[in-house]
Amino acid sequence: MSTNSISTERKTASFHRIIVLAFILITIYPILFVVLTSLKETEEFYTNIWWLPEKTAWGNFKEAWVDARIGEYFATSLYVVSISLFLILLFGALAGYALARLEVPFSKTILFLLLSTTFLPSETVIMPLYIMMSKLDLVGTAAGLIIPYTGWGLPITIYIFYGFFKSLPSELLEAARVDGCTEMKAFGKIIIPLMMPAVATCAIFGFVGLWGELLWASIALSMSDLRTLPFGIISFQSQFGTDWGPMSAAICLILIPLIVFFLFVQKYFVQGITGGAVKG
Amino acid sequence: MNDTRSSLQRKTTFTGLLFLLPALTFILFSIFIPTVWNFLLSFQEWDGFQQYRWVGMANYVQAFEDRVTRNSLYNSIFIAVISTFFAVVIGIALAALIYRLGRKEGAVYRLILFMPSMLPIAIIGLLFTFMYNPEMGLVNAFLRAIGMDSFAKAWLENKDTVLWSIVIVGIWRIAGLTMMLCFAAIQNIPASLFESARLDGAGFMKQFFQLVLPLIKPIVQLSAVFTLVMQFKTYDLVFVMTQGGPGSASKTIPLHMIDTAFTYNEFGVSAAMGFILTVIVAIIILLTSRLLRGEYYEY
Amino acid sequence: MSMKRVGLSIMLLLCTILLLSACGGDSGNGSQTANGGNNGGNTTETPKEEQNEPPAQKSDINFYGKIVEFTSGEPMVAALQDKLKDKYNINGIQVDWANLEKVVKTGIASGKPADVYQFWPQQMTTFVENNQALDLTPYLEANDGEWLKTLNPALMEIGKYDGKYYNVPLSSNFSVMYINKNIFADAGIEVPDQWTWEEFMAAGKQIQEKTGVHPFAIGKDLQAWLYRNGLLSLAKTEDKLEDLAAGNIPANDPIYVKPLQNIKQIYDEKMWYPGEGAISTSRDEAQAAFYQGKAAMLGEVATNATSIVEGAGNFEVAVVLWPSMGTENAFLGGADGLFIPANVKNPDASVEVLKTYLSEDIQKIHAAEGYATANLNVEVSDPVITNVMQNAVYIYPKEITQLSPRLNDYIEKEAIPAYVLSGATDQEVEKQFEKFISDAKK
Repeated sequence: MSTNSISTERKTASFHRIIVLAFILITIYPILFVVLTSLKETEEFYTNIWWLPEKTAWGNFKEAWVDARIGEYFATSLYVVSISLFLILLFGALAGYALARLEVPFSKTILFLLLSTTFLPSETVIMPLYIMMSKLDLVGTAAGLIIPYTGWGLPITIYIFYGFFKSLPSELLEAARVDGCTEMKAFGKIIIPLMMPAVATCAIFGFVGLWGELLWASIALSMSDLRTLPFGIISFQSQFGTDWGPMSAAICLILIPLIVFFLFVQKYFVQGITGGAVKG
Repeated sequence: MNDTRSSLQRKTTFTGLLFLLPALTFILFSIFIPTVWNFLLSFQEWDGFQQYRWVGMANYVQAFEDRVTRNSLYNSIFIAVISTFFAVVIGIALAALIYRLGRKEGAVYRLILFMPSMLPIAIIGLLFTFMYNPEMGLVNAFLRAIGMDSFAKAWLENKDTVLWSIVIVGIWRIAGLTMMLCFAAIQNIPASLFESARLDGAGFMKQFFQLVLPLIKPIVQLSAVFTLVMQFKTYDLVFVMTQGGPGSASKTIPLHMIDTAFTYNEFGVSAAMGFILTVIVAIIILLTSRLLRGEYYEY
Repeated sequence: MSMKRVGLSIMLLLCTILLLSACGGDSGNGSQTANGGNNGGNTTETPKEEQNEPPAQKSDINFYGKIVEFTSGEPMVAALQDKLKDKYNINGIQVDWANLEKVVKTGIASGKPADVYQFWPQQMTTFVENNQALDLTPYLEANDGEWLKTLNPALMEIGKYDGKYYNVPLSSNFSVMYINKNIFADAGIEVPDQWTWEEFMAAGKQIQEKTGVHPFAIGKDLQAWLYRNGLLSLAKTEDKLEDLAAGNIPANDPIYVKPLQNIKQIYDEKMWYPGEGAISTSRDEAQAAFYQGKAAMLGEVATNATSIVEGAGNFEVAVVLWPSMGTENAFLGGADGLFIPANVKNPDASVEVLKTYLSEDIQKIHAAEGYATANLNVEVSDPVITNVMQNAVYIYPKEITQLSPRLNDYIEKEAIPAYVLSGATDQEVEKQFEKFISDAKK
């Protein structure tokens, strides 16, 4: 390689960096705006919308935490979504394994049927689902959200796990056995670590799909004090109007733990997802 | 011998069904039963309270005859297809570009780009309503600052711009997801492949199209399908940003279904719309999968 | 093969543990949130637990009527819970206006509705026609109309269908115009008490020329009120109010288009804040513009009088009527009210709770916060509120929007954007009315 090609490479690298930075700017500006606004008082907000606050108003955070009960909504959402995700991953993995490996009759048909249910707009099921939930006395409880969320998240998860288990060479388990592992150990040592990529993919999909769900939450929780994050924020907005100071503080309070969490698990996401996770 | 084998097989099948059971129970309860109910409902007249009455295909006919329904169908398809296309293309490009940058630097960028996916969509809607505000919003402030006053608009009121404004928010929100998934997939391509490509004299572009893209095709397909499904169901975003307005210029099918059912008390027509949309989504997704179907490379 | 069996048993074990923990966690979280979540309503939770010792017969009441948009919402429900704490565990639920119709309809259809719902008396048709609302007439008229006498008769009319009362009003809620007196003074305009559309437009022009401020702001949720009030005023001028409500005025009558022409004019002449974008301005944005002196007048509802007068802060606010498009004044029938579903478990208990809520003791709180309560026995001293309450005489309870939900939706959401923005013609508007009116009368 000549020095010339290295310098062209450097040039293209900085060109790439510029493109990426442009997108970063577009992505981060609205978020930065929220951070800045969370530190402004309402009056300052209207006179100085887009720039740094002149004096920081921490009161917004107090208001978001105490009056808007963001912490409580966050806890509810986290609780509902993490239980749903757990169920989705567990049952999704089981079902995917069954369809791919366990000689279930009509497995292809079942898979297709499952997948086609995801196309259905969930708005169609609101009324029947509410009536069913109310017959079971689950309306207004966390279970009233977890059950449908799990059901809605499962089809695509099963599809991903199906692809994953199909792609696993069966010799893998045989080999482990030959090496003298017990059956239990083989499963724990071979299958579960190999599953992590698929798990990570499904977890991202599940999280993105469920975290912001608003319609069903606002109907199913209408009779209770339980509020998920999106529903809570919307009710906060209707109570206090779009008061951007506290609202932005609330958004910051939501983002901070998510960022910390993400920093923590990003390694796994990125290391984990192999091509095998999605070989359909 | 034959006998033991078939008994083994039966046992395996039984285990398989058992494994399938919990997932199917959840799906049966939260999707299948309500869907069948709705399918039957789409051939009936029901106002939410009283007796059901069979009306045959009348609900489907009414849905198709209604101008607002046709318009909403168009909007739904427009928003879903356009925003998915751009989100996926941008996502792949960003993933490929970030892969070339330093490890630490790339990690920071990925975090930032993924942030919008972590925000509840209702909040994103509120935020962007403000960005698009004709008087104080960032978009117009920016245009005025660079002297392009004449391009400043009431983005969400103008029926020529309202759909695009929503599409852009849809892209902003979801592009990071494709980026994450594609980045991970690219990272799994063995470095030796890149090395040999480089020795063959392939530049970035060539490497990208000849090496990277074919190898990550399965994950591109998956993100495209998932993004499409998500965008087709766009309810929250439009509800928060425009409520389908001005008039019904940005109404999507989910929004119109809710109105038809709960405001007009025409639950049957609403159910019929749901099925029309489902069929269309299924067709579009089938086409997308065909288009993106790649061979699977082992490496 | 035994591998699979082992795998299976592990999975099953996991499932069981998981289900158990999920259920345990569920109930734990539920009660925790209920405790932490009830601001003024801790009373609901605590007595329920103590109740286990002496098994007193206290029934649960779901009161879907805590209007947090009103500053009086929380304290009134707290007072209600406290007042009836020996008889009922009242669960005061926050009203979600954005989803109200969905919430009430799913609730009733499921067979387990709330015991009392907040809903607007002028929009009860859908429940009344399906026999889903409890007829409150016997309760109101019992003991020589003891309860009925405490409530404002003009507002009671709004919730009356076929001679029966289905909805009782909490407070009046009709349109008024808030005026920035400073801007009016700068433009050299007298603040009127009542005015016609032409006077309003002339004042607007003058404000535009002299001060450069936008004369008028109104949020998109309320802009259809411009149309509805205009229509009522024109119909009253021609003495056709009843015919209008019954759908007897043919669609080619100019009164249907006239208000749209007027509304288009304020938009086209850029008198409507912020010019382009006026149709999609939210209520918050309109209010903020008024507070900041960017708009001289704010079209709003009377309910918010106190908070708007306070919110204005650095200038003086006058409250006047909306301009009348005809020569006579008439407002759309506006009240916030409550009703009881017909399939509620215990109608008598629901009625008792509702009656207590609307009683003098609790409505005092409402009035003290600056709301024009429907209870006649509550004394109101605030001049702004008394002024507002006097204007309630112009409320006319029956409107064409009650003919069908589709017609209502057309007027609320479609007509103005179509006419003002998309340039729909008079003939197209006529055709729409023709279709909706004839459909409704079938």
